[in-house]
Amino acid sequence: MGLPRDKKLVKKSQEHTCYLKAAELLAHETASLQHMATAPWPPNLSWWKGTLLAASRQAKNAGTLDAHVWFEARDPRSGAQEPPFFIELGAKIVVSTNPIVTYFFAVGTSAGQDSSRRGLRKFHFDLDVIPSASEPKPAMHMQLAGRTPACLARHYAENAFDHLHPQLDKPRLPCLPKSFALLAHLALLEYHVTDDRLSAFLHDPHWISVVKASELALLRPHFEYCRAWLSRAENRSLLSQFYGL
Amino acid sequence: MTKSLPLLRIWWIDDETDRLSLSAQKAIERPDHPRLRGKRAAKLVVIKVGERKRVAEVLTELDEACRRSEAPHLIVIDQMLNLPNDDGVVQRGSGFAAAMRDKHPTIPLVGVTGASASEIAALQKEQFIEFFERDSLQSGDRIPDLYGIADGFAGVLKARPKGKTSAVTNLLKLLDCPTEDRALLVECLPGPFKAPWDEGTPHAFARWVWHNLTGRAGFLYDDLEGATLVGLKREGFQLLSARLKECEYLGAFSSASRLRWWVSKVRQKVRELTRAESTEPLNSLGRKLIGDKKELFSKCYGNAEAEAVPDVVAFADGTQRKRVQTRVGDTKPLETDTAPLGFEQRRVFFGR
Repeated sequence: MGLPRDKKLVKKSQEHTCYLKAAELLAHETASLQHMATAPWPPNLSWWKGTLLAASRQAKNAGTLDAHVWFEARDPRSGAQEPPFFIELGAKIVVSTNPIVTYFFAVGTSAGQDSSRRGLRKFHFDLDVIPSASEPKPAMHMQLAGRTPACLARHYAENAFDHLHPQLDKPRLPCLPKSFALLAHLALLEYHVTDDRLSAFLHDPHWISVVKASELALLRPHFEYCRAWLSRAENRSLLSQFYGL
Repeated sequence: MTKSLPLLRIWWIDDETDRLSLSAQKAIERPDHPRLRGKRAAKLVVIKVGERKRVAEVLTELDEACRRSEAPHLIVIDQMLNLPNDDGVVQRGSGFAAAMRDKHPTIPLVGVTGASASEIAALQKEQFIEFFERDSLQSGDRIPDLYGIADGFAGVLKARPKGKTSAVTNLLKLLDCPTEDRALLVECLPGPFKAPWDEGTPHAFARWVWHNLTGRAGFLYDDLEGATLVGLKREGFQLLSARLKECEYLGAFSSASRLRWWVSKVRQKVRELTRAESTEPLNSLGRKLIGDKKELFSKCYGNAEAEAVPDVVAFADGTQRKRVQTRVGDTKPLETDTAPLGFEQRRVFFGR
């Protein structure tokens, strides 16, 4: 007896992925993080250089990526007296038979004691290529919350993001492929308007070349795949295709 | 045909020359290190300064030697000269070195002290390319470093940019930089080395190579750091090193008693030897290469029974005398250290 229709499609969708595999993404990140590290970061972010290079080095030596950086930024609509937000960016890639590819973008604020922070928002961007017939999901997806990465433990309490109900996996929303450079660019685009140094950096040619390299490596194949799919699959939905349906 | 290497002229300036034993003098002239034995030699001139010969006279002698094209390839100066100058102020070797370098910037200078080098002020040390503890030269342990510095400095002088040309290409060649590291190394070279050079730049560059490029983990690793990278104890790495020959640093200021390894080349070579994917951790590949001999596997300092594989070399404690293999999570950054771009943060073990 053949597989039910949805299971067949789920299986088939593995063959036509528009995402870099975990090992390919890791190789991209290794070079990209090194390129990022030599960008002319504004003084308040110059400490990123060492962190990015260390992450690149770890990826080369240990075959895993575990990166975390943050910056302070104000919301354009918040008053001058209000404390700035902490914008936290992270990535983890573990290459194995069940690879882990996850990026996070979190927003925190001072918890008012020591250097501890309170969680406000947290988004995870995961690449999960293992199909699930019982729970179709887009391979590249965004989730609100998700488990709290270990690297946040230094500033955030274990329950800092509990109000976001991290136990809820759904919804998993299809999203664009991510790299650390693309994630950082996204964060800078969101928060640069209240910081002239970040605004200037966004247009720096070195930084743009880092972002472009990631766009070419990750976004171009994605959009080419989508364009090709849309042009040939007249009666099927691209969004359904992301879910393997 | 073997290229003949020059007989070095080394001057040793001291106020108490009898502190340098005859055997040490012979060892400097005919080094016994297996890599130098029979291949390198020096003519050591020991100059005693004191009441009979003032520092100014040595400077005159040096002028004359330079005029005769017999300038020394390296000058070793004792830091504790304890000689009053014309104003009655006690002159240190570093002060003498500053005056000498001002006049003869093309001669490399190293300092020597009977005390612990850590007791010498940083500013005084900066007058020299390196500062040796007398015992480390008397014992012969660091004699190859003298040759490494003399040869390295001669290489720098040859490679330095003329006029307003950029030094970068020459410097990368001088440092024997692998292709994989070129772009990053260029970014990490301090700005003054990439700009037109002045008379003081060779000394500054020599110090950067000695203390940063070859002196701290980053592009290059020493035996202990290399061993940690591939999951082994130092003895295990030394066993493996014959197969990593092509990864050894042979650029300017390389020294037989201060072996360094290009991390990028070790990474590539270990993966090549084990035919491994680029995502396989090097520490497990290194262990495979020595035939899974557990007694040569690296162990975490302070927790030798733990299964965890060390991933960093750190100082055992704040005295910074002993370095150990441990987990980065069991260490904290050394507060007094700021890692330059491209180099690793120095860390201290604190345990859990």
